[in-house]
Amino acid sequence: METGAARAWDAVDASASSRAEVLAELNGRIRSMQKATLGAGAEAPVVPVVSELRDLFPGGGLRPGGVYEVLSPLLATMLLAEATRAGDWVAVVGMPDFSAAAAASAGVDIARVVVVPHPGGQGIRVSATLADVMSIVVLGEAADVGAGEAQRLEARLRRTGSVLLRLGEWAGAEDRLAVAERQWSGIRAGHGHLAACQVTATARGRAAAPRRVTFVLSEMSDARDGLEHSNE
Amino acid sequence: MTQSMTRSLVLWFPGWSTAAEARARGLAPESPLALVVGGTVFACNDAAASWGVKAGQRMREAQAACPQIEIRPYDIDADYRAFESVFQHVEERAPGGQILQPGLCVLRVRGPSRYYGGEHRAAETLVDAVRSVGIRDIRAGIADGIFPAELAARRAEPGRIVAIPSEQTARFVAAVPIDELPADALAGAGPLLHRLGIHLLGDYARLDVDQVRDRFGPDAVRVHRLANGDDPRMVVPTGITVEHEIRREFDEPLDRVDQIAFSLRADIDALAEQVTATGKVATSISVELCDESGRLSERHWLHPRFFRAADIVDRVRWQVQGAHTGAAALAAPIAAVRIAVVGLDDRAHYEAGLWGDAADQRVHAQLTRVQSMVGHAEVCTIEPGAGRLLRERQLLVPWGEKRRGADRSGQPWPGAQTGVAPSLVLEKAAEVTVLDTEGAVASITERGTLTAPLSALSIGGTVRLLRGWAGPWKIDVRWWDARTHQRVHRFQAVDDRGDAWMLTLQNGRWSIEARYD
Repeated sequence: METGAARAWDAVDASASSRAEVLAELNGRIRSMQKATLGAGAEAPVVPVVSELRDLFPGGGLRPGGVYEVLSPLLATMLLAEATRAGDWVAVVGMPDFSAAAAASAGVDIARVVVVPHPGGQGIRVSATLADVMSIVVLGEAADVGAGEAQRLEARLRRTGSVLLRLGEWAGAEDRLAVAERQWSGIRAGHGHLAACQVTATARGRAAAPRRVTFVLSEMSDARDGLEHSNE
Repeated sequence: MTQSMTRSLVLWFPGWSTAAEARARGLAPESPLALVVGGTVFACNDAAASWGVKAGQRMREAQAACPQIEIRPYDIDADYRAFESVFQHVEERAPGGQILQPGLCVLRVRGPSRYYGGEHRAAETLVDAVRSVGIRDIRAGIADGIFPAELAARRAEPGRIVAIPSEQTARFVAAVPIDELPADALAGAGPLLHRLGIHLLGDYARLDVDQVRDRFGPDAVRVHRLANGDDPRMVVPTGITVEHEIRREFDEPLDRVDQIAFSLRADIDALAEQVTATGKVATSISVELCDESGRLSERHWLHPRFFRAADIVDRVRWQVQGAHTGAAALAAPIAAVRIAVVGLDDRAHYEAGLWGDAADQRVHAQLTRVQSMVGHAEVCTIEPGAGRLLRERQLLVPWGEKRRGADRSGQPWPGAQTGVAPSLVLEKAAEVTVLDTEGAVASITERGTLTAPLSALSIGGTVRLLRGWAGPWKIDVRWWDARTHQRVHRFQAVDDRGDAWMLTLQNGRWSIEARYD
């Protein structure tokens, strides 16, 4: 009987000659197979995020399979940007007030966003179904989460490697992301308009020491170029 | 006697399509509205008709006749869905009905009349059932055959029933003036018939069918056949010519969704292969389900790309389940299924792109699964919309449907919001109280200025002092139409906690339009 391993040997024999090369090649194959089955290993690459928020995360991005408590819709929207730009799909479940304008100015490719504004009592089930194909799922705070359901969803996320951003409480979340401070500029008593905002965002969690970043949102361009306009 | 001559009850909702669109869009019923297909008016409401707008007119002519008219593209799928939700109330009381078109449905009288004790009683019950869900204008006609019953319904007053006894049906039809037919039925031959001295359907029915075909074309022949009591509608379901189709009759009617899907799987695979073999793909299909009592449910399905075998199975499943998502058992067992490919396109337009489409196909499969959990219209993509209010500028389009109308979001919309985009656009604007420095609820003068500067914002009992505010920006929504015109004043404000708000003032009431969070 010809097994998969035997076929692999044949293939390796044909391409590599020395013993060291053979071992390296086989190790590589084993790694790639493990990646395919386990999805999110410890060294799996992170889900990239926009540069302003990169320093909030120990690995420079969201951990695949992780659950984050995100207490600010702005941060949740910004976190979707890089994934959609890479061509991944993202879903927003149970957040009827999702702002397409904010998403567009944060650099989200809106064509890759699917919204389920009113999942009823099925927010968790919908999120679990979507986790198979979406790289990020945002789950609104209105959805109730039972402990059993939460564990099943976490297991599914670990398998598929997608990230859940929960707008509210989640027992055992990776990190808690929030906006600690906002400073608006351009608006005074009775004139001007909301032209720019300096935002301080924080991350606290079990993974690492608290982190904070400061960036500027501005009307002039999308969020990533904001720093140039920080002096109003 | 043919099957079509069975005693029938027709329920007619005059002006259904426009009324349904007006309800769906929240337009006032008395404001002029027209639905267009391909640049010509498909239907218009009474308000528009009183300005001289007619079906079949070009859109420009309609706008010239009635400048304040609201023009909407006609979406037949949405129309069917809306009508189905009303039709369900009829079906609850008398199963076995059939939708002829949105706004027109027919039932066999025999069952309901026996159940409710008389055909008039049965018709009254159904009319009351529909009126109880808020549809005022419904008319019923009873006669031998669908066509005579339809003519009778058109004779009825709102909410009333016209019943033609069996023995008088032929005489009734013969005495109907040809002007009472729907405008498009005779393909514009009406005036000519009058000049020929033919004023009644009876005269028309006596004309030689070949001469009618030569002179007036196929539509007129159809009416000619109907006037002669030869109604093809029960026999051949639709007029679409179909190359690829499946007809399956189950030896024993099936009452479970999964059974039906499973037993059709092989046939659907074969159908998909048959389509592929011709170098085409299916872009729309029609599914007809016939239950044991002979009731027919037909629906057209469109696909964002094209139908594969699994997609067709999905559509059959959804249609079997109907509006009751998640229900595994059916109202009545299904006896026969017909699936026809209605729209075909060249496969060259649908080959996988460079990046491959396997991933997107999986996305589609998962999204359709979610749709079957929470409902078709609850899984959406966002399209840029046209308008000045933030909510108008993001349209939710159900997954699998095409957006309606052209994208006008890029055109200038004076008054559309500028500055930093708010991170929450409220689905339903929340009412708040805004106080001015005088301590009163802030208000605006006729000239569009505030009576006193703003000072505080009260949301659900908590008062927040305002650190900064700006406005008003005046937004005139649909200023060209006195009835739907909204004058909205918009403000931006930052409170003492650093939260920022987009507030609107309309008719003296303050609400939150959007929030920066």
